[in-house]
Amino acid sequence: MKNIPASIAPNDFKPCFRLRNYIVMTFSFVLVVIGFVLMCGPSCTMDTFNPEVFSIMRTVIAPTTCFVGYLLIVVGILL
Amino acid sequence: MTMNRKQYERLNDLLGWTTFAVAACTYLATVEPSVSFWDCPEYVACAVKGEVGHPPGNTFFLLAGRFFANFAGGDLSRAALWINRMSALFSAGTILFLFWSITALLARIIIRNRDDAPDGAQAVTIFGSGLVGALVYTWSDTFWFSAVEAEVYSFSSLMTALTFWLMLKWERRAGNPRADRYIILIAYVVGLSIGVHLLNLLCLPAIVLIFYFHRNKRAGMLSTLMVLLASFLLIAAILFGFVPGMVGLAKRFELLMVNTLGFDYNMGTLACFLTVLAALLASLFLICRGRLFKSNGARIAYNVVFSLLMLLAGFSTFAQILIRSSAGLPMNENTPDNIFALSRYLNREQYGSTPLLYGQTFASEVIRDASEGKGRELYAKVVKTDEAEPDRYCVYDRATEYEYDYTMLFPRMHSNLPQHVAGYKQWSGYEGERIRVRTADGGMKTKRVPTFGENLIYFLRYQLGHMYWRYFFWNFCGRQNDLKGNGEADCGNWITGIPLIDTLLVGSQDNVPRSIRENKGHNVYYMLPLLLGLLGLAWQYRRGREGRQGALTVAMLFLMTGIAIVVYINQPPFQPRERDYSYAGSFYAFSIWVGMGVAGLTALLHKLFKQLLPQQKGLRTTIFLNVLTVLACLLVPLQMVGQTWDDHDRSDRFLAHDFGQNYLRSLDPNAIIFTSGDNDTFPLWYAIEVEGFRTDVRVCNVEYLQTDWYIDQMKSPAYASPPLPIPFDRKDYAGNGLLYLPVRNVRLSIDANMKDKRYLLRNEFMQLAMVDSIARAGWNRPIYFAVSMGPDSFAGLESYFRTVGLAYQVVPSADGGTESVDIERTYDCLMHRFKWGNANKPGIYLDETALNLCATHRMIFARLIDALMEQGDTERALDAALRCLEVLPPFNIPHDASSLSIMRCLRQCGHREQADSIAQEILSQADEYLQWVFTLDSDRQRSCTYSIRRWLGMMHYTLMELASEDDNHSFDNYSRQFKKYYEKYSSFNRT
Repeated sequence: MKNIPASIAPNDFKPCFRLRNYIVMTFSFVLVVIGFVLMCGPSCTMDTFNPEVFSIMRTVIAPTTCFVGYLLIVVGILL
Repeated sequence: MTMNRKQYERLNDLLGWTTFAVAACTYLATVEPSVSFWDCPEYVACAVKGEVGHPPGNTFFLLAGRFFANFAGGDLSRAALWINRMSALFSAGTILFLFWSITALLARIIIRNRDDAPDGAQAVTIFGSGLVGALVYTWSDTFWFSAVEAEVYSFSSLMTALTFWLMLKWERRAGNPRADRYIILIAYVVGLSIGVHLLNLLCLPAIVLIFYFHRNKRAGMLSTLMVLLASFLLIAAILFGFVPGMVGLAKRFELLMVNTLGFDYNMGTLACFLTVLAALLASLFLICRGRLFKSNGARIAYNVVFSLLMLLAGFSTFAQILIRSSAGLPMNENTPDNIFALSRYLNREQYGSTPLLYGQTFASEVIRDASEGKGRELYAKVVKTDEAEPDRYCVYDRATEYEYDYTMLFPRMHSNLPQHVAGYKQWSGYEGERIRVRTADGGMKTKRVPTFGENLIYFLRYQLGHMYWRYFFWNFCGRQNDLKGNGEADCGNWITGIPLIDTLLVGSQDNVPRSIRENKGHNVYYMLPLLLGLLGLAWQYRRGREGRQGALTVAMLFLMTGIAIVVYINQPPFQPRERDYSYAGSFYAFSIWVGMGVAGLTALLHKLFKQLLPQQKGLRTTIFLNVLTVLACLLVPLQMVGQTWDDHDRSDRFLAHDFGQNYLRSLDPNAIIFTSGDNDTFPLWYAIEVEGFRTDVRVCNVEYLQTDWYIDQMKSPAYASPPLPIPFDRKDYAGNGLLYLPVRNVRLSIDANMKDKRYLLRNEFMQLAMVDSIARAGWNRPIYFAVSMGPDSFAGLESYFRTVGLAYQVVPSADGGTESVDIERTYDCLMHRFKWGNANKPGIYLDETALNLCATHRMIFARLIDALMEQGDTERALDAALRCLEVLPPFNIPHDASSLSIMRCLRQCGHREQADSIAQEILSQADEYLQWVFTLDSDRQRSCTYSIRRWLGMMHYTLMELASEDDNHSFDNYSRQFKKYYEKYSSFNRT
């Protein structure tokens, strides 16, 4: 192992992430989870068709929240 | 002219974004304005409404698609356009990373000291290479195709390009410990990309090589090979270890929580996810505290665990499938609403398994079920008899593993479907050998089997030659036309545009017929991009250790995304469509070398210049020479776009959109329509699901009707469509119930023609049962078959058919057939109700799929015209003929056999001139084609047998039509030609 810079001296491990990375990553993943929770709800059965499965909340807001959450995780990693 | 590193990097960014802008403008200007054919309408419906498409699912693509669909606002008919635009932008993003990857790889070789800036001459070469490579890929055939439609390949390319570039970025900054973030980001991107397409995993060996070469500058051959082997193991570990391992763990949790502890469905899966998450977080915490490892060990452990965590986070997109499938949606393929079904969905078990390293050939027969009762248990939700019953899983079947009587190493000809076997024999030059094998009852018998040599010939000629290198050369040499090729001399071959070479490749280049010459997919680049790429590869390889290592890295990307896929998917012959899109990653890698070709050419010119004018030196001359080379090389992509624009410009095309709706417009209210292919199913789903068009209709794909989950969905109401009349309970058909049924056990109220059938498959039986229920109920619900289905899918009901628009209605009387027409309603459909997707717009690009559907519409016109003429209703027949010429004009859709009916009608109604022009058109095209084809050598002629027969037939019937009038002699020379061609055809047919 060559070229080890001075910043990693033995017994002094510093992770590549700082506190702000952890905060943004956690926040983003919570957003993803919220998105998936919003996606849940009552379902259609073999006897009834339930138009509620396509509500704005479940087909627009929830997946968009998830997607934004997944993108923000990238920000959280690179901050 | 000097610059510092910062200025260099700023210019690098600026030029990168310039290529992005060029690519984005190209793709946004040529994007399809609504859905495209094949899987696209299904993906759009799944993205917009959060439904579940075909395995193995692409959850992150759907989430992104939904995000872009938001820009359509409330107007859902524009959602498809926005998802297409997403592809356009993602493809442009791929180009951006391609530019940066080329310049990064070059800077490493050209600039001596890593942190220096290049001098002016070096900068010109670096940026020139980036521009040429990026633009060649921007305007190349395969990549452009996926960039303008709602498919996963654009997004998947972006993920691959991003991963490769991130690794180069890491490599430059690896001295800084914070650069480890790039590795963790790569893990996250790989996790996410499993939710787009598995292709992304294939760039891992290249990634591992970059890492290894960075750590071991003087890596030797042997150790490099070991590292490559390890990287393959890494892919295998993710694909066959991490994913199934996680799923397997979730299955155990689920069984424990639901069956033993009595929780609801999916609670075990959730508990499993939380447990793994907690375990990873806890170990991270301990690592950070320095409890587990010290110093560098801690850094490695931290990065590995964090990467696993992010892989898991990326993979968590698959929660979308479980959640949405549990909502019991109308489009819910395979109903993956629990971890067991999801696992089968991810493993694409419905498509069966393909042997890879060892297995059966087409001549192999099953000796026995080797698993017999001890195969893997397959779990499903229990069929509840009462709502109050608790959730529980039960074993519904066991996986079977067959033992075959003749197996082979590296089996390439594995399918025993008759059409595949025919193709195997054709491509391998099959003669076979006789061997003695064990039979199922323990005896011995002799049979003919393919040899290992023939197996390899098939691999080389078909799988590699036809299904990979042909596509490769399409992109870097040229393409004959956009017709799907199965080895014919006149369809979809690669060519160069250089007559001498093309004569060797596809036969004589003199008097090439219009079907090739004027086809918009006819593109030639005179091999220039190929030569640049080869030069780039050679140049990079000879530039010292860094060059060699870089070349090996790009080569891994090239091989893994190309030939490795070919080996893995083990394709049988006669694919329903061209598959070049699978290998876009490989063409991406080659484009890196095309870019480097500029640097290679510059080096060559300098050498030449030095010999010619040894006294000329100095930076000024060098810059001048470099600029000149770059400008000359920029002509290569510019020449390419001149060729490829017309066959990738999908603007104004509404064909898939309108033709899908035309099927629905043909139907009465509350109808049921059976369909079987991609292009008569997915556009209909899209119309119903996304645009809410004809929600009273139920589309029933008979291929899916073989499965219990689809029968469940057909028995459920959907939108305004009541359940289909399937008279069975879930317990009758769940699992393997009613899979096969002896014909003699079936009693129906209608007399279906079973020919010599002894067994009915489940889907045929379900179709017949539905028609039977409807017949018993006094034909209370209209039921149809799509006209585009093959006769095999008609369940023996042809004699009850009546053509109505694009569908055959099943009617009570058995005196019809596919040719009989419901005149009034078909007339109304074709004259008033149907839409034509701008098929009559001059200059619009119609590819083969679009043309085939236009031909289907024209065929319906022909049937209607014939029926009207037979009734003596010449007035309406003429209206229909003129309408057909107006909406499906011959300048966009060349005349075919259906045009003969139009011609006959026009002639009998006194429109002699128009009729003659159709005859002239058909005869001259046929004459031109046949003239050319009979100049080819006999093997090539034989490969074109289908087209020869088609044109001879067209010529024959046209001349017959004309012969009914005595005074017409203007076509006499064609009669003589026809006789000549027919003799040639018969003589080669005899030999």
